[in-house]
Amino acid sequence: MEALSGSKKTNIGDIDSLAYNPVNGKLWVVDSQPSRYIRLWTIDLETGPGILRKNYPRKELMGYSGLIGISFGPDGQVFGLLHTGIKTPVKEYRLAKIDMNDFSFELLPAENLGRTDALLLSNISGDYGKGITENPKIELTVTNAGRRLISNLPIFVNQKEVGGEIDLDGDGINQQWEDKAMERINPYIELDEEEPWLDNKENDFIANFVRISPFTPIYNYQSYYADQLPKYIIFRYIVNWSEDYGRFGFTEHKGEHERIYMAWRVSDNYRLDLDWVFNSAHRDPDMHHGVWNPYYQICNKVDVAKIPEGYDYSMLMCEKLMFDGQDGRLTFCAAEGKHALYPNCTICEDVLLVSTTATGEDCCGGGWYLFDCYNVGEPDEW
Amino acid sequence: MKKMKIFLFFILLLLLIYSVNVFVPGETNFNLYTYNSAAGQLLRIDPHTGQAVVFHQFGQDTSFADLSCFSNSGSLIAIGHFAPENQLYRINLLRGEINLIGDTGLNFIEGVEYIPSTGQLFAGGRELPHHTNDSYLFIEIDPSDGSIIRQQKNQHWRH
Repeated sequence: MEALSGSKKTNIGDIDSLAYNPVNGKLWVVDSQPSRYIRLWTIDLETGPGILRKNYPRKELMGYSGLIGISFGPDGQVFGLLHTGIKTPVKEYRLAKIDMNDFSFELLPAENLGRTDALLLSNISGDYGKGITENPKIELTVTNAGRRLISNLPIFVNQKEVGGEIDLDGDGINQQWEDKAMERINPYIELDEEEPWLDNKENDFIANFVRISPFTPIYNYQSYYADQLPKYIIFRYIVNWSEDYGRFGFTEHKGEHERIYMAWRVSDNYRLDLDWVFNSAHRDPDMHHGVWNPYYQICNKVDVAKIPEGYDYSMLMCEKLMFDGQDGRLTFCAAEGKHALYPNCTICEDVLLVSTTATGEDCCGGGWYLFDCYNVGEPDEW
Repeated sequence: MKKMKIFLFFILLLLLIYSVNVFVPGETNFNLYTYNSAAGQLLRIDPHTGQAVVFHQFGQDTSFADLSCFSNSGSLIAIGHFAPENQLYRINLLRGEINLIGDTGLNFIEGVEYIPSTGQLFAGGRELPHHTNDSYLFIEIDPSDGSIIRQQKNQHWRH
């Protein structure tokens, strides 16, 4: 939390409610002292002091005691919720339209909001966005420098919706959410400047096959939905290359796949937090895998340099994960030719491929790429 | 007779324009919402008439001080009212669910508002007890977990 820079004097007595004007971006404060005054202020978002815009003395309140709050519509129209009585129970509520040019009230027809039951109301809120529709779009936000994924809509569907139209693979996760999240956290792959694919883009191809599935360790129950959340959602990105060019042409072969797995902890049905990341290289001489933490350095003991045969060279890889400073995406480096994945350039270039020579991996300098993603659903055999 | 026909044509044209302007209501999907803590109800208010209808009956013992539209998500963000503390909630309008986002750790917040263009959540209120505190606090809250990002204490300037 940011330290305070000392208190500032202002005339705002209290903040009873806040309202944002989407047209001019101003934040308004309602300070209502029942049967005494209602004051409307705009407030400085950075420092907190306000500018008084309107003071309604008691005689201008048209018999009402106070204002619960105000709310703006999408076009800047303003509504206020008036009340009579100082203490609960409130005698009457009434919606009014406020003209912000002269701050006059126009009472809307329904007395006590047209209700006869007991009311104890919060401030009002409108939808100043695009409208609360029957089919809101999923919006994802990445915060905590790439380590938190927030959804505006629920991630898991209701129990009765599992396997239905909005959950095609039957894993309990909203299908549209899976597709959006898969793209949003698709990691950058940094290539080496001498990566052969850069000169063979016409004939060779790269794509991510992605499985997104719920998972709770040491728990056999496999059915998840909004009321029964798993501990994790695992994103398995299989980075598929149509060509492994080998290192200096050695061990070249058609088709290969490298892996990046992410374990996102399900904090609630709208929020995931990245806990662990796994990466791997698929075949000798640089076959290895590592498990990484998104917040602190981890050391993985890996086996590399199995040439010549029988020589088993172990090394310690100690590193932190890299997240892009702009959009928070996880970043991995693919080694030249064979495409083994490493969390950063230094680790990659420390790896020896042939034990008796100085031949090692080469990484970075060839640009960052986001490869196309294809959601494979929940395959029977994986 | 010809002049009469032209006159009648214009009269009919005027009536048509008038009827379109007057009798066809403008389409809007904008509504207002308020929470009725006396009955655990989310009420939807028609901004043309001021008439409220029960939109969701939650039937739970929750009291909210303020609501705010939460992005274009079909949900509202709400701040709990005093007891025991100001907890932050999300109210899903389509599903009729209330989910706890997190606890602010405060107990005096009365106003809360989400700024969709920046993703910031602001809150404010006066520290308790009111009779010994004349300072209000303007607070920025992390909308993903309810934690306090920054706060500014502002002392009421008495005349």
